[in-house]
This record gives sequence, structure tokens and C-alpha cells, in this order.
Amino acid sequence: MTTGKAVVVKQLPETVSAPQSQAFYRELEAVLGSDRPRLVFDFTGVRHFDSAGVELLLRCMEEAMKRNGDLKLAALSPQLAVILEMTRIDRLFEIFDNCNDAVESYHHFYPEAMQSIAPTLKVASGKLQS
Amino acid sequence: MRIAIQKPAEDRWANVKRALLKDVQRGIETVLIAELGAYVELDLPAALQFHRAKAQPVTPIHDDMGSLAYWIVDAARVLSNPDSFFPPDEDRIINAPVPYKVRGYVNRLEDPRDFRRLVVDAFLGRCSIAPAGREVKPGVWIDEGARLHKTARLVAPSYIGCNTRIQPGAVITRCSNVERNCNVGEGSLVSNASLLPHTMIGRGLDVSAALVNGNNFIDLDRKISFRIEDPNLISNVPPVKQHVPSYLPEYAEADRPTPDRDLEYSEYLSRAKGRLLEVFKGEV
Repeated sequence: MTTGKAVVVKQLPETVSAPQSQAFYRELEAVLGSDRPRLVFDFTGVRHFDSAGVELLLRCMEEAMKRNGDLKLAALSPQLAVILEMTRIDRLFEIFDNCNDAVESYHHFYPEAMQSIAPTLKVASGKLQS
Repeated sequence: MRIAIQKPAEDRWANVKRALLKDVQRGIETVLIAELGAYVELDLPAALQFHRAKAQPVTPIHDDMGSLAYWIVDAARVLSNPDSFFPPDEDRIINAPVPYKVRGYVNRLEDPRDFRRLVVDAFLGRCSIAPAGREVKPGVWIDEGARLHKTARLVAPSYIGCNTRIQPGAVITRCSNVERNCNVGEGSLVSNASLLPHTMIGRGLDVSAALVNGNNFIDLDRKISFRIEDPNLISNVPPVKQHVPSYLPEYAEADRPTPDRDLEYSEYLSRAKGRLLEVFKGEV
């Protein structure tokens, strides 16, 4: 496990099925129980991923959200991307090409995100001035 | 007309030569050799007429992109000098033969996207393949023994094969074909996808732009194929038991299927025979 700027990066095991998911969750319980947990799951070495892995992601996300934290995913293979898409959970997570981008995303506003809310901000500021 | 299928093998041309020899002994003069690859809607009488008019031992069949690996051959003439004509590749035959140009529908079936294109073309009437089963509403075909829950939705064009089950809340849409003995789980979406026979899709899944053959999943957008081992997602379905009327004496009480109490199916019976799309039988 590596930590940097209070973001916890956790590498998933090569096989993510029921027994591995339980063990992995137990390892994470302390982090998930902390205030505003900021997590990145690194999928670099994952070779086998099934519905137990999907459950694990949802459970971790739920716990992180309960404490105003977040869980982001990094380095998914195309096959894993298909499984997340098929199980419709891809839209619940921010997904990054690599761990660095995922960690950085916790520290920066993305210009695209700012652009998307810019019209709302302009309207709000106009109303305040009038 | 006689149809013989040679299994793919190293010495397939030797096998073809042997088959041709038998044909000559039976008195057959002209033979169509086709490598099972491309789907071609060939006007055979016109092609034979062309072959006879050209009086050449081999007439290759082409489309605009070149050879389709179909040849019309005069068996006796070819066998008189087999080394010159086998394989009947026009590039190596002296005095290159004039090819016959196909004007009908051609799909080379070179990759899974071509297979999906064939399905879409069949739905849209661009080729001669017609979905089997009964057209229960415009553009929606349901084959014999298929069972759909009343809350399942079929959006045209779509096809449901023999003995396939579509569970509550599932949606089949955008030119999808679900072949025989499949099962689409509760709330799942099948969109722009082909499920080949004996494929089970789990609950609440989204299968889009894909070709699924049992455990094998091909993502057509990403152009990747892989195996999914989790039965909660995708798996092979064991062949469905044939329905045996309960009044038959050999039908034991223990074997009688218990009705699905939690599901209410409306069953559609088809009058048509045959099946849609048995083309893509090979390994994916």
C-alpha cells in the first residue's frame, strides 16, 4: 500500500473472486472507516475478475461515500472495462488510465468540470450584482 | 445436385481431388468448390452459363474486392492435370481464367463485426436470409417454444430463437438476435448484440455491441474477445429438455417440471421451420 497526499492507492490481487474479495475488504476496513477516505484501486495486475469483484467495488464505494470520501479506479484492462460496462457500474466510478492521474484528480479541479459549471456561476454572479 | 463437406485439414486439396474423382466416376461434369467463409448469394444458373460460355476448366467467383474462394470446375478436365489446378488459385493457373463477378449480396464474414452486419442485413431485408419463427409484430420474430415474460420488451427489429427465455423486465433491441436455448436474465438489456445458441445472460446486465457465444464474449467496439467464467454474468445454458406431454406413461412424476410460480409467461408458437443464422458456428 502506498500513500501520498492522504490518498490511499491499493493494488488489487491478480484474482478478484469471493475469497480474495473478503480478504481485500478486511484489509481496507481501517481506511474505509476513517473520515473522508480517498481511495484509488489499481487494477494493473488483475487477471480474473467476477461478480464478487463487482460487489467488492460497490461495497467499498458505499462505505467511502458514507464518510464523504471517494473511490476511483485506475489502469483497467479493456476486458475489465467491458465487465464494468456490462454490469452498469462504470458510471458510478471515475476511471483513469493510471494511478498517478487518479491520485492527482483528488487535488485538482479539471478545466472541463469548471467549464461545465461556468455558465451557472456567471448567472449566479449576475444575479448577485443586480 | 450433391453436396459434400470436407473438414478443414492440412491435405484438404487432396481430399477435394478424391471427391472430384468420385464425382467423375458418377458422371458429374461440373462442380462448385466453396471454401466455407464468405456468405455469397450466388446466381448459380447464371454462373454456370458463364462458365460454359468461357469453356475454361476453372471459373473463379469474384466480387468487387476480388476472389471469394468459390470456384466452378470441370471435374474431368481439372483432374487430367491436377498439379496445375490445385489449389484452384487463379494467380498460379497458366492462362488465368476469367472470373465470374457476383452481383448479389456478399458478406465475407472475416470477423465478428461482419457477422453482426449479416444479422442486421437479414433484419433489414438486404439479403435473402429471413428470420425464422412467427413475426408477432412488425420486425419482431419469435420462434417455437420461446418464452417471454409479460414485462419483457422486444423492440423491432429483433429475433428470439427456439426455447429461449426472456425474463421479467429484460429488453431486446437494436437488431439483436437471441438464438435457440438462450436465457436473458431479469432486467438485462441486449442491444445491437447477437447471443449464439446456449448462452445465458445474468440479471441486470447491459450487453451492447457484442457477440456472445456461451462463455466467450466479443466486444465489437473494442475489438476484443475474452472468456467470462462467472455464471452470474454469462455462461453456457444446458440444453433445454424437450417438452413431453404429461399423459405419456414413460413421463415420470419426478421428472415433470414444476411450473414457475413467480413468473408469468406468455408463450408464442411459431409455424415456421428452420433457424436464423447458423453461419457462425466456429470457435470465436
